[in-house]
Amino acid sequence: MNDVAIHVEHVWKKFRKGQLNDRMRDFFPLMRQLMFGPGKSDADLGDREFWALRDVSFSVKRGQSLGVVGPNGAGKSTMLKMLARILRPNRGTFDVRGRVSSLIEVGAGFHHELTGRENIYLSGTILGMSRKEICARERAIIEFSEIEEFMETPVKRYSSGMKARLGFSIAAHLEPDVLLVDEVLSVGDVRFRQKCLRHMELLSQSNVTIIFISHMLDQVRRLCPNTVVLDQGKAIYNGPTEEATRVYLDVFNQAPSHSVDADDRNRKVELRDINFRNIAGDEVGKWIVRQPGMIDCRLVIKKRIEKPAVVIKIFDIRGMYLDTIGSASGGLIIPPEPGQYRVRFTLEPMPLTDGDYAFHFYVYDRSLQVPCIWELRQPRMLSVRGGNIGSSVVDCSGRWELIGLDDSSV
Amino acid sequence: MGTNTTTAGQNAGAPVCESTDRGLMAWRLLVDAVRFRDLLLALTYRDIRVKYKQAFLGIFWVFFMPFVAIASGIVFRLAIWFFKSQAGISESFGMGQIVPVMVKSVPWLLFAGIVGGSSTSLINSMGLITKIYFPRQVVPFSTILSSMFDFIISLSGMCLVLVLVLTTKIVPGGADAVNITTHYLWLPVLLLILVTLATGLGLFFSCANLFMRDVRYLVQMCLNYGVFFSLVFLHYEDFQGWGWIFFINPVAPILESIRTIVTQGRIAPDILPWLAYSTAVAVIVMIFASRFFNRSEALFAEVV
Repeated sequence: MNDVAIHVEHVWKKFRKGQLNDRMRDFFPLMRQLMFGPGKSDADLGDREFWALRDVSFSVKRGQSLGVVGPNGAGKSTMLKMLARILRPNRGTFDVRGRVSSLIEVGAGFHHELTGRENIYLSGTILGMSRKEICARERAIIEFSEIEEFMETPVKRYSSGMKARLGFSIAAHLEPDVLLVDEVLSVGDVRFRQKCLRHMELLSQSNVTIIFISHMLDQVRRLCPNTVVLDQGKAIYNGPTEEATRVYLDVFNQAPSHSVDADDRNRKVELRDINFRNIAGDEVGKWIVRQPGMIDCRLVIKKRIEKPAVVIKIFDIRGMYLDTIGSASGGLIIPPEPGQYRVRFTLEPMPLTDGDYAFHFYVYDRSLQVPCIWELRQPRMLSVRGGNIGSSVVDCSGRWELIGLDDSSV
Repeated sequence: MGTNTTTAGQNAGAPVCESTDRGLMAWRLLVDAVRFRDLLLALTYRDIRVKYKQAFLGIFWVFFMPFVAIASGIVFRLAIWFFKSQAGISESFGMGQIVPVMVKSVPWLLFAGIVGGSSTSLINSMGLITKIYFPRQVVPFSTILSSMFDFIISLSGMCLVLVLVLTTKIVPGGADAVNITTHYLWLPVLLLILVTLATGLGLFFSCANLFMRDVRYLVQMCLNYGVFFSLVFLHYEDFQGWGWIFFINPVAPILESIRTIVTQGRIAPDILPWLAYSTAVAVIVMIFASRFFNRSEALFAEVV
C-alpha cells in the first residue's frame, strides 16, 4: 500500500440548508457542541440537513491523476475541500500522504492593496511555501505569469486575467506531492490555459498526484487516466476516463427530459424517443469521427399545427454554439394533422471532431412568430470519438496535391 | 520554470497539526503557529503594510493614536485636579499627573489592539479559511504580532518623549514623577500577563465571532468604554477605599501595577493580591480559549 497517495474510505459529509445561528434556539446546541465535542447526532441527519457526500470511497496511486466530474452540486468541491483538510467528514476516514497543495481558487490569499511581488510572497507562504523556496522561484513565477512589468503595481489595479495569471503561476511552482485543482483552468486566455494544462501534465509526469475537477471533459481526458463521477454526493463511477465521460453524460440524459410546465396537459406537440444511431441504424452512445450519424425521433402532434418543424442546436461541451439544423430549412415538410411522425436526420458527412456535444431539441411552428412551441429541457449528450483528444475544433480534412514544379534555379 | 523532481521524502515539509485533546492546548497552538512561522510573519507583514498604506500620515498613526489617548487622559486628570483645588487640596499640575496617564495608556492601547484586532481577524480572512488549509490560529496570532509591533514603536516613542521632558524640565513637576528602581524588571512580566490575557480573549472572540456576529458589537463596546473601567485615566486612589472594585476587571490591577512601579518604584502592596488574581484569570482564559478554539476549528469553514 506504500504507493497509495490518497485513500478515501466511506466518507460522508453533511451540510445544513438555510441560515445558521441566527436565533437563540441555535445557541445552546452550538455551545454544547463546542465545549464537549460533536455528539452522537453528528453522524446522522438532523433538522434541515442533507448529505453532500454519501459513502464515497476511492484511492489514487502516487503519481497518478484522478479526474472528478459531475453536475453542479454533485459534491466535487466538498470532496476536494475535505482532502485539503478545510472540511472534516462526518463519517468515514481519509488519508493523504505527502505535501498537499490545493488550488481551489486562483489568487486565494491575495491582498489587493499589496503589489504583485509582495503578493507572490504572501500567497506563496499561505499556499505552503517557505520564504526560501519562494525566493528561489520568484524569477520563474514572474516569467511564467508573463506580467513582469506590473510586479510593483498593487493587485487591486490588475485585470482579472492578470490576477489569474499571477495566481496560477504561484500555485504552479509549489512542487507538492499531491495537487488538488478545482476548476481553475477556466481562467485566462486560451494560450495561457494551454500553458497551464501543459504544466500540469509535466507535474503529473514527475510523480505528482493530481486530483482534477473540471467540467471540461477534454481537459480531464487529456490529464487523467482515471475519473470518478459524482452525482448527488455519490460516486456512481470510478474507472477509466473514457467510460467515465459516458457515465457523466448519461447523468444528463437520465434527468427528466420533458419540460413539465403547468400547461403540460394541453401541450399540442411533443418529441419522444430521441436516439442516436450509426449509419447501420443501430442505436449507439457515440459516433465515430468521419462516419455518418443519424438522429431518430418521434414527433407527436396532438392538435393541428400549421407548419411543424424540428430544430436541433448543437453545442460543444464548453457551451460553444456550433450549428442549428432545421427540418424546414432541410426541405422536410411535416404534415399539420395530428399524428405520430417518425423523423430521421442523417448527418453526412459528419463534421464533428473528437469530443463531447450537447444536442438541444426544439419544435417550432413556422407559421407563428413565437420562438418555439416545445423544447427539451435537458440537452442530450453525445460523444464523438476517434481523433486526437481535444486538439481540433473542426474537421479540416481535405486533399493535398503537388500541382507543379517551377524552375528551381532562381 | 523549476525542475519538478519532488520526491516524497524530500519535502515531507508542510507540517500537519494533529489536533487531539491531549496535552496543554494553549501550548500546542503556539507550537503549531511557530512551525508555520513563515506564514505567521507573512500575514503580520501584510497587516502592518496594509494598515498604513494609502494613508497620508502612514506609519505616524502609530504615534498619533497614543498621543490622542494620552491627551484625553491629561484632560481627564486636569479636570480632577481642578475639582481638587476647588476643594482646597492644593498640588501643582505637572508630570506627576501626566506620567501615570502615559504609562497606562500605551499598554491599554496594546490590550485593546490585540483584543479588537484579533476578534475580527478570522471573519476578515473568510476567503482564506474556506479556500486553503493552515492552522487557523495563525490568523489571530498575526494580528497580535502586528499590534505588538505598533506597541513597540509607540512605546519607544513614549520613552523618548519621557526622557526628553524629564531631562529638559519643560513641564514642571518632573522631579518625583519617575522613580527608577530594580522593580522595573517587573514591567516585562506585567506586559506578558497583559498580553496573555489579551491573547486569550482575542482567540476566544475571534472564533466566537464566526458563530455569533453579536460578539463583534460586544467587543467593540467593551473596548470603547473599558477605558473607564480599567483605570486607564483614573487611579484606584481616586476612589479612596472603593478603588478595589475596579480590580475585579483583571486589566485594572495590571495597569495599576505598571503605574505604581514607574512612579513609586514598586508595586503598591494592596494591589499585589489582585495582580495574582489577574494572572490566574489570564492563564485560565488562555487555557479555556485555546480549548474552545481547537474544538471549533473544524467548523470554521462551514459556519463563516
